[in-house]
Amino acid sequence: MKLSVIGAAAASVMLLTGCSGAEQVQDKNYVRAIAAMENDGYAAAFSFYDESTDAFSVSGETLEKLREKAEVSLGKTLFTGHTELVILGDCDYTETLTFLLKEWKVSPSCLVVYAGPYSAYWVKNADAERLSGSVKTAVEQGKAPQSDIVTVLGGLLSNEKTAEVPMLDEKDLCGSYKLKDKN
Amino acid sequence: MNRISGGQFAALLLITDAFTLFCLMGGISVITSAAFLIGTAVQLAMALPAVKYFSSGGSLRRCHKLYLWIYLIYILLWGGLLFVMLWNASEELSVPSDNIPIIPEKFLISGLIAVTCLYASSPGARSLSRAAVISAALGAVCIAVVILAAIPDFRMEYLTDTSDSPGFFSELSRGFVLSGGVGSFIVFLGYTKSSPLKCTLGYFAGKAVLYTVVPVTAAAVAGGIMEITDFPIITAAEIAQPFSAQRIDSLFLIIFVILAVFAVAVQTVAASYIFSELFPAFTKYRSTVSLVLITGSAFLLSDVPQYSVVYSGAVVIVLLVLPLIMLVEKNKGRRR
Repeated sequence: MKLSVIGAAAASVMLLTGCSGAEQVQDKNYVRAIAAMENDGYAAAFSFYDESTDAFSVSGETLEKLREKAEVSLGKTLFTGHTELVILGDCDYTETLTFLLKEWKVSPSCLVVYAGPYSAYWVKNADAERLSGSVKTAVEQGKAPQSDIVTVLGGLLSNEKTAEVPMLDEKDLCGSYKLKDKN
Repeated sequence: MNRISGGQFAALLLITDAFTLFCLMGGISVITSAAFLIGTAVQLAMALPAVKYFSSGGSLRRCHKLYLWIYLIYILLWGGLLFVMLWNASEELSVPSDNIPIIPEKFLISGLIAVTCLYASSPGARSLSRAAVISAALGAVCIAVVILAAIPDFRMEYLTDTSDSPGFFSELSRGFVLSGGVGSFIVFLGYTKSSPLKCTLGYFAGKAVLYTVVPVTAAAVAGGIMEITDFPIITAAEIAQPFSAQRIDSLFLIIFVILAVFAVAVQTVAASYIFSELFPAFTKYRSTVSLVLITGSAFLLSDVPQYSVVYSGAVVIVLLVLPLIMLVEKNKGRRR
């Protein structure tokens, strides 16, 4: 009995666990920043940790389809768990951030900023590391409101239905912007 | 069954309680914590007839077979419900596993946990209880790490916001459903080395701390997004992020799986003990049969609402009504 149990456990461990079916690091695109906006449907732009991969824009009828389209076009799966910056354009903020947190599982410490019409521009042209560093420093210095995705969603889902986030114009951080739940 | 120490007794039962708490679904607030704490005190009071029964020399071996059958069915169903909780929670947690096209991921994870349970429960209660102490200690360290990491994210205003709370009595009932491990509590209480009262007090003290500290932490951290949160304790662990590079820290994931294995293994051992009392000739494969029946009951219960008031009623019957009847019958027999 004991031998058969040990045998079954050992066989299960060898056959069903481990990394045999896992994807290799080079087969994934690790997303660093996401711009989300609505423009006759949904649209998003991604920048990646791998600097050799250019920022990429995609549009679609639903948020779910954006990722599928991006993966097909880039030829690699997207990993959004390490996303450190979400740049919001004009969109349904609550729906978008809820979707990013629950479905795309972005990091809870991911920062949210508002850039309105410049959101795609910032993802494509800015250094996401420098930008998120600037936001963190501004928050520490009290010049910008705390804007991790959990805090921002907490504000949008509260009775006030608003949340304040740092704002970007075409040049740099420029104060803060009050997001309002659109529902 | 070999006798177990008070610490081992508490570890075996608290592991199940911690696992069900981690799998808790729906919003929580400070009312949840208060209801769980008061519910734990009520359960302690309800456990006193069982304590009296075992302290005065009572044993499950001497009680009516019907009661053993009720305990057996209850424990098998509760084990099944643990699997259902695991299936639900595995949709939130990304437990790494290989993709086998014909087997859904949640069944693959459950299958692996079942095989590990079989291995853990086969040597019996004594080995399991020794291992449970180590696992419970690891679980306590994990909870402490997550709570410490969560402190900077504490928002006291979330604690006072009880607008979405379903009310004290609903939360009390939910706390009773999470306390379904009372079947194994009764089984193991008859096999403790120290006094049943001491063991019971130790266990419920640990449970009171667990059921207060963890929900309060989760409400203070994840309260703002409770409306969109399915599993508040898991979400709080994700937000706490002791290791910032990871989506959910691997420490929590490992402990979650260990607790799942032990929670089911405890029910398997308790059920296999009752099998040995009901069918003394049935000496082999008791653990295997128990585990197969638990898995079967999981399929039976998979569509039943998880926090049905029926489960709360079952907890009251198993923890209070049956031991009370057993105690009365025992005292009557003594007078004759």
